[in-house]
Amino acid sequence: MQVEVLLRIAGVGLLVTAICQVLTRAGREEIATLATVAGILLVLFIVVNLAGELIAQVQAVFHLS
Amino acid sequence: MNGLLALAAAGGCAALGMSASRRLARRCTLLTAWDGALLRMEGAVTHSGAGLTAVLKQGAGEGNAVLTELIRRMEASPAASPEALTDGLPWDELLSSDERETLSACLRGLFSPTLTQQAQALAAARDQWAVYLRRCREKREQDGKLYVSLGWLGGAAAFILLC
Repeated sequence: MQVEVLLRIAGVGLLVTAICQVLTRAGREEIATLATVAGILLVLFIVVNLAGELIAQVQAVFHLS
Repeated sequence: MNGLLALAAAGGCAALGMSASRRLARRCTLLTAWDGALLRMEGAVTHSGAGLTAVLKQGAGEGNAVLTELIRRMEASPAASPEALTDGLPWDELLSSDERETLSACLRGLFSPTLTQQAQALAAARDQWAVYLRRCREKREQDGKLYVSLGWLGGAAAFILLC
């Protein structure tokens, strides 16, 4: 599962880079910036979800409330 | 199930991109057809001095719905005013409001009493139409491939996220 998440994050990063390149070459820098921000937020969302799961597992292992 | 959904989303994004690109191409084709119609009408007015119906038939060629409808209205109501005849014509939805207004003004100008005024209306419309056509072709050049690329990349992103 962890490898899948890493590959997904890497795939999103590559695609966002490609989209930004295409948009920049078409002269749409502002949309490219928006696409970059959207990609960052998407990856942050995935990472925050994973961090939340990790904290929940740590709490379960150490019987913390 | 997730895979099918991801494939469908990817295909949908790619189709959206190609549809947007095709719309630009269709718009350019439409504007080019209208340019040809205006040229034929200008030729009919300036070189043969044809009557209005003949001028419109020249412009309509093999399938201009707007001019065909205008001819039908003129034959049905010969005494109607130019404004009444040109109001509510079946304009293609790909034309912008400015383009429709330019064509409407040109068609109303064709009802002028003298050939000179009719020729002037057509010449003015053709000059403005040349600008619209140039802008449309530039936009198609710039954005056609962009939309296709964004469609495929968006489809790939949707596939990765949903799979």
